[in-house]
Amino acid sequence: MVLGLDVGSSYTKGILFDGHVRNKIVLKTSFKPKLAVERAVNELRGYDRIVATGFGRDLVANADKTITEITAFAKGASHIEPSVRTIVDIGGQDSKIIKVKEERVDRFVMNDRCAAGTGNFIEKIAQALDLSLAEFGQLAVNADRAEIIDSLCVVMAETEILSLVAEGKRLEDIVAGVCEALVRRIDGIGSQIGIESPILFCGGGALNPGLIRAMKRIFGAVTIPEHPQFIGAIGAALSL
Amino acid sequence: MLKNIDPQKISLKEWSRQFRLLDDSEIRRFKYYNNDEWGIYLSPPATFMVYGARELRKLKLDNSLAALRLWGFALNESERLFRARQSGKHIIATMGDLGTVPVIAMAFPDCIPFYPDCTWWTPFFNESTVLLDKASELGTPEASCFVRSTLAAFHKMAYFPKPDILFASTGASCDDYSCIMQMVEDMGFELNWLEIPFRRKKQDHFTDEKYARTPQGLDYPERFETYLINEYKHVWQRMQDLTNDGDPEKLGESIKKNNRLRRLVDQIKALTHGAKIAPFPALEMMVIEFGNLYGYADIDEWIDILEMVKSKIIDRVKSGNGVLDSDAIPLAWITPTADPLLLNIVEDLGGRVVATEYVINQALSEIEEDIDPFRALARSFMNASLIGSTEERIRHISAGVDSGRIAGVIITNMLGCSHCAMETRAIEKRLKNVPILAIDIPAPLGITEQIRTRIAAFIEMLK
Repeated sequence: MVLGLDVGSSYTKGILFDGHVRNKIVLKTSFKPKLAVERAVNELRGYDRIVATGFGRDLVANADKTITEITAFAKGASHIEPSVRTIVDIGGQDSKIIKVKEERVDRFVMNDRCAAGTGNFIEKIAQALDLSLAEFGQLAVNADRAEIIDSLCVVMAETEILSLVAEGKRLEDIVAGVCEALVRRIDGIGSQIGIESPILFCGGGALNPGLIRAMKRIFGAVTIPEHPQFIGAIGAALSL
Repeated sequence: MLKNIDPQKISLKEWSRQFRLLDDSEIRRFKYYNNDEWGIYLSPPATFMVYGARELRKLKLDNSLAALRLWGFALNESERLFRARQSGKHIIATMGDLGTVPVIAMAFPDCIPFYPDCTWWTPFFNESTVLLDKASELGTPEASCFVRSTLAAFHKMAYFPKPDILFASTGASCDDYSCIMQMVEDMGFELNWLEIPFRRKKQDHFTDEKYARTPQGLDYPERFETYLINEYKHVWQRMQDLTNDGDPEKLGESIKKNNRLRRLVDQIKALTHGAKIAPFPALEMMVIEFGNLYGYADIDEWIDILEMVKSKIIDRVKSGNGVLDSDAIPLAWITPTADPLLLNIVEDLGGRVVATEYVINQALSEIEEDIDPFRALARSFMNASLIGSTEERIRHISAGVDSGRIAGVIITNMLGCSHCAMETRAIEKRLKNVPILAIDIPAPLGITEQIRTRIAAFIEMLK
C-alpha cells in the first residue's frame, strides 16, 4: 500500500493506493504545510511507502520518493484515462497544462506570473461577491449567458465586475463570465503547446461546476475524473 | 593542500573550512596584475559576502584551487579596477560592444578595458536592490531589463572608477544597453559612440550588394568592413589622444593574446561539454565564457587562471571524476541567466549544461591574424549574435541541437529585455526537434518554488 501525498499550496491531498484508491483525505495547507503533511500521514494509516508531490513535496521528511506534480499528474491522469492527450489542472496558486504522450509528459506550461488563471482568481472574486465557492459554482451553472470580463488581473477584474453589478447584470451571468475569463486564460497559456483532445480536467478547479461549464464551452468535450483533486496523489503513488 | 580531494560543488562555509588547508605560499602566488606590491586576491569566497555579495551564500562552487582562483579574481574586479586607477592606468569603459573594442584598448599598455554592462549581475549577487531601486529613481521602470543596474552604478560611482573614456554602441546593438548608455550620457558622461550595422542577409531584390563571409560562415555586406574599420580607427585615434601612445604592432599582439584566450576557452568548453561526467560546473563555465569579453580587466592573469582550470579539467576527465552524476541530462542553455543561482539549481535537479548560446558569439571565435588587424576585427565582429536576424541565431542554435547530444534546451528570458521578448518565442517555435523550457528570470531573490518545479519537471520529462 502506497501513501500518495500531493502537498499543494492551497490543499494537501493524500490517498492510500494499491491500484485502487482505498482511502483519501483533503486538508487545507494554508501556510502550515508541515502540519498538513503530519496530519495526512497520521490519519491515513496502513501504508508501506510514501511518495510525495506538489510544491511542498520536499517537506515530507519520510518520503521514499518525490516527484514534481507535472510528472505526477501525467501518471495519474494516464492511469485513469489512458487515451488522455491534455491535462488541465487548475490549482489554488497555479495552473498547469500538460501534454501527454504514451503516458509520459510530452510538453507542459504553467501560469507563472500571478493569480490570473488559477483557482485563487476565483476565490478572490467569490470573496469580493460575498459568495462561498459552492455558491459561486452553482450560480455560474444557472447563467443565461456569460458576461465578458476582459481583465485577467484579479484587482482589475474586481473593478470590472463592480461595473457590471452597477449596470444591473445578472450575478449568474457575471460569475459565468469570471469562469470563462479564467478558462480563456488557460486557453491562452495552453496555446503555447497546443491543447489537444481528449482533455482531462482535474485539480480543485474541476470541482467547480462553473469552471466545468466554462471548460466545456471553450474546449468542447472535457473529461472530469472521479477524484479530480487526487490525480496528483494517485500519480505519485503510481510512480513507485 | 587541495590536491587529493574529490571534485564536487561545495558551500561557502565548506570553502572557508577548506581554505584553511591551503599553504600561505599557495595563497601568495596570485596577485593583482601579477605585481608583488599590489597584494593577493585569493580569499575564501565568503569574503565577498562581507563586501556585500551575500547571495553567494546560496551558491555551491567548485572545490578546486583553480575555481577558488577563478572566483577570487572574477569577484574582485571592482577592487582591481580601483587599484589600476590608483596606479595611473587608464580605465576604458566598453559598453554594449561585446568583443572588439577591448581588443583595441588592450593594445595600449596603460589601458584597462572593462564592461560596465556586467553590473547587471550585481543585484543578483548582492542581496540588495539598491542598484535597481536607484535605476527606477533615475527613470528606468521595473519593467526594463536588469542592465538598468548599470545606470545606477554610473550614478553611484562606487562599483568602478570613473572611466577615462567610455565607448558605447548603438544601431544593431542591444536596445536596452543602448538606452541605458544614452541615459548615462544625459548624466554628463562623455560617450564615444560606435554605430553597429545590422548583418543584413542577402536580398534577392538587391543584387548589386557584394557579400563576404566570416570564417564562421555568416554572410554580411562587404561594405560593412570598411564602415567598421573606420569606426575602429576612431576608437584607435581616441585611445591615442588619451595615451599619446599607439603602436599598430601592439594591436596585432593584442589580437594574438585574445585569440589565445578564445582558443583556451574553446578547449575548456570542448573538454567540459564532451566529457562523460561533467568535470566543471555550469556556473563557473559561464564565468569562463564571459571572460572572453575583456579578460575581467587583466587578460594575462585571466589566461593564467584558465590554464590552471584547463589542467584541472584534464585531470578530472582522465580520472573519470566530475562534479555531477554520470546520468545528468545534457542541456543547451540559450541566453545567459542574470541569476547565477539558476545554473546551480538546474544541476542540483539533475541537468547538465553541454552547449551554450550566451549572445556573445563575436567574443568566442578567433580573430584572423593574417590580414589587416582592423579588418580582422571588423570581420570578427560580423559573427556577433545580436546584430543579425533571429533566423540566423536559431540556425546557430539548431546546429548544436542537431548534433544529437542535447536532450533539452533551457532559454532564460529576461523580463523587459527587448530581444528576449522578440526572440524567445521564435526560438521555441523553430527548435522543433528538442523539448524546450523557457524561464522568465525574476528580479533578484525571486526564484520561486514554481520555477524550481518547472525545471524539475522538465528534467523528469527528459529522463
